Amino acid sequence: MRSLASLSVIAALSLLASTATGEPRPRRLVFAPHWLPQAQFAGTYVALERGFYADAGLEVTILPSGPDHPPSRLLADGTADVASLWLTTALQMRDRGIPVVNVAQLLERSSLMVVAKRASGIRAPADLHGRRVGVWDGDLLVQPLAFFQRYEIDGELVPLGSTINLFLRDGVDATVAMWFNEYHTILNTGVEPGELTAFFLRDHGLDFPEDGLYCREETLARDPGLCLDFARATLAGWREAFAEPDEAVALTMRHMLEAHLGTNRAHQRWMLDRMQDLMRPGKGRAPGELAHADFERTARTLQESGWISSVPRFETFHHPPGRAP
Amino acid sequence: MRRRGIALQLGVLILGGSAVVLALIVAYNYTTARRIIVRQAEENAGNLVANTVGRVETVLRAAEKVPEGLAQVLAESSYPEAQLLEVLGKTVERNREVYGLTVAYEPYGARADAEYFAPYYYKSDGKLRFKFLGGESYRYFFMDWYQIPRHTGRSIWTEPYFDEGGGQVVMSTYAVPFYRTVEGQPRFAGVIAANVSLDWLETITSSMQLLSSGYAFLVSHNGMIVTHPDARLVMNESIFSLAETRRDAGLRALGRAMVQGETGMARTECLDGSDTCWLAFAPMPANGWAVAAMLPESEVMADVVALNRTMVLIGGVGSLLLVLVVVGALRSLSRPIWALAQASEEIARGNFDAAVPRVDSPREVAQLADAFAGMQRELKRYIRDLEESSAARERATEEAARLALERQALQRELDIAAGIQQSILPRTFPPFPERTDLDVFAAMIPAREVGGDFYDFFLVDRRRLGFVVGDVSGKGVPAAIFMALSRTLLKATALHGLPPGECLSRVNRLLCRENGSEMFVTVFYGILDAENGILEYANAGHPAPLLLRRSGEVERLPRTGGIALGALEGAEYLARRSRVQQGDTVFVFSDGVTESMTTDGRFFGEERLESALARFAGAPAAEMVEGVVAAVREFAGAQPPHDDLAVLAVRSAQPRQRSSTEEISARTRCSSATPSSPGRRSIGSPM
Repeated sequence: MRSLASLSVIAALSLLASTATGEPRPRRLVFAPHWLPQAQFAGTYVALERGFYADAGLEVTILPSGPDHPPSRLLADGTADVASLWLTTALQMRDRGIPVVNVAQLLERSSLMVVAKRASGIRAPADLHGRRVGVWDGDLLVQPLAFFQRYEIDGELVPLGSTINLFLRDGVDATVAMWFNEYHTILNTGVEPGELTAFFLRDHGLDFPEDGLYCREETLARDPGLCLDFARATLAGWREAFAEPDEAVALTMRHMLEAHLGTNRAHQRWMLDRMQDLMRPGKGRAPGELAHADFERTARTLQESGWISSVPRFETFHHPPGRAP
Repeated sequence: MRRRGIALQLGVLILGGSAVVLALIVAYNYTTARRIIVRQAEENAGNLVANTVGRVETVLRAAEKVPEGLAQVLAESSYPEAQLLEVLGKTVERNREVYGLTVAYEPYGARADAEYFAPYYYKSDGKLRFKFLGGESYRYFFMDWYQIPRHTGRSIWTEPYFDEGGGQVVMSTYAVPFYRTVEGQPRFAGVIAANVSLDWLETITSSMQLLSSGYAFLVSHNGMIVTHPDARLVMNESIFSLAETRRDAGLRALGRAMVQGETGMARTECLDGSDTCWLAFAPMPANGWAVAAMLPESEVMADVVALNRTMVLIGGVGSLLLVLVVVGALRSLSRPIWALAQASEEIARGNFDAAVPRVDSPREVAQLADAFAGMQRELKRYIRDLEESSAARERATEEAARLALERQALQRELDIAAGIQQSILPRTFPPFPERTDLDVFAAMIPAREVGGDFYDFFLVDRRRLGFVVGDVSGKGVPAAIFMALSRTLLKATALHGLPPGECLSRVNRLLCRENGSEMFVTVFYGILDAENGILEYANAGHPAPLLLRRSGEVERLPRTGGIALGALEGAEYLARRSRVQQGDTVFVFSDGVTESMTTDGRFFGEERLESALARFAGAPAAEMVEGVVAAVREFAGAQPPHDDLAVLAVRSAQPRQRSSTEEISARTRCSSATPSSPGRRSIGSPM
């Protein structure tokens, strides 16, 4: 409540300030999230709901992303001003000549995992050899392929849709999964954790930072405040979401229902809690800051695997948002 | 101080007891009824679930036939496109269950230039419509309905989904892979998918009425809730997400059983969390889903609870009535007891006339009241007696003094009687001083003041001396009086000069006639003829006298065999004769002599008597009597005599003159009436 009160004070003050400075109208900003509405973007919903964007003088529109509307494309073609992308995706875009800039790194750690049913006999990464493994197409393929390369796994890769049913019905022997999403979905079809073998790719030298907020270089150059204000307000939204998780989950579910998506509290709460686990920044870094070492490791791995030809300069690539106002 | 009354105590006991009994009955009733009802509910829910499964399966199996048939056809022959579309359209039109139908080919499988080829007929607003599926925005190769049959080679029912175009209709697709033979090998060619609207599922499950709030619902292969009265749960929550939100491991376990195709029944929290529910479930083999039924326990148990409530009410009211009756009864019972208690307090304060309440019933209390009244009467009498007793004590003291005086007087009179008794025995010795031929001496020592033994002697005529020793049965005054009577009768009879036997017979008759006291007397009566020494004698049960010869020889006078006088009326007594020489002595004694006893219980006996007597052979009669008496006394020592003792000795001596006999006779008669000095013991003078 205290935070609410102070927030409203801040809101009032900023309103006064904008009136005083005579700023005419809020700046429009279109945001393309990574995926369909879910708690993976709870911070954005909270920031929007609590008026953090408005306080920053932003009028934010959240695009309906999803498998058919990849955010990378939305950002590239200018539909979106800011997009939520994986670091690997951003590096690939940049390598392909789309200069995107990281204005906030949200997930510091990788949540990607490979899950198999113990009953299939898979106990170690090497057991995946010769098996059918479900993978997500596109830029989500980078890490799994690096993983398979690392363990010299020669298996059949089966591109997945948006469900884990192919895995559940034994259409594949193993599948990639997000810790915060599909892994829990599998558990909530009645599968016990003990019935699964699960590898976190981060435990196999592939701890690539995932979700980050990106905008195009030209946008940043034209209006540096736009992206960075958005990034700071989003980070504030996340802080608030973790402080009031029940409200954040309820808000997320509202967004999901509006998008005609099935949802339940248990899954969204799991996701929010995992986001908090993944978002905890390392020592000496402010929220939203990308660790240089993580950047280097990810970029070098991509370069070594041939995904990108060159590694961009860190300073050019990452513009930390700084403290939220 | 307040003590609880019996009515209250018993009331509490009865109420407590009946409460326990009631609780037991209700508990038993509840568990039994619950068991029965749960069994019934299980049966009902099981039937309902099975029924639902049957109905749903019928529809699903019907829908399955469409793509399966088509898959067979497509496997056998390659349809021209136009013909395929016609078949598809007609099939959709004809099959009510099928909402839409497509044959989706592998990339470039149908047309060499088309990555996506999936003609799709579907119903919309009651009309048959057509479109091609597939494209950048609908990459069907990655859809479950396509991918799963493709990669598993099996026909599947997909997880339910909302139809994107058709509003909020839940659909499931039955997808069948079809193959084409290429180079002799079957090669995967595509998937035939029939979209089946599941709105009828909702209709079926909602028509499954279970009591008033029980319901059936469907759970998908993944545990997703497909139909449920609460629409918010449908396609949002799964049985597992609900279990997680509630942290209900039991529900999760039930969910696993459901999705793993088990049939079961369990108690769990209702899905809305409001109550405990019975959950019955069974699998739907066609698509691996499960039908479940939820029965709120409160509703299942409603009848039992209502029954129990009624029982408790009846039992409670009954117990209360029982207590009221008992308390009332005990009040009326304890009222008289209380009144008695008050009366007893009143009496304790000294009011002995306090009114004792009259009680007629119950019997026990009435008895108590009677006993109490009796006690009061006794108490009053006792107090009265107590008051009188002091006066009585005074009177008793006076009486005792008077009795003492009387006893003194009596003693005096006894002393006089003893004197008289002694005095009636002839006590002057020698009795016939002028008769030298007869030496007579006698002694009688009574055991008590007056005795029953006696002796007597008298001259029957000038020549003959009659002598008697008797022993009356018993002692004391009655014996003394009987003795006096017997002696008088005997003497009076003897003086007629009758021979001894006849004399005793006559005296016996007289005694028997007069004898009212049942007493008898042993008597020895002898008549010694001083001139010729003839001793004639008769004996009525007396110890045989001894004859001490001058030589010192002791003989026993032969027995005559008569019984004691006064014992048998009409008894006859024989007489015997014996000759007494000069110097011989006839020694007559009562059993007091021979039966005289020492302290250690030895009798004096006849032998001791004979030897004592023998020492006095030739000695004067007096010397002999006194010697024997002294010997007896010496023998008995400190032992007081227990019997009277009478001894008489008659010695035949040298006659001097004949004339003197008559004088003796006269003097003897006189002497018997002469009183001698009174004394407790008397023995012939000169003692």
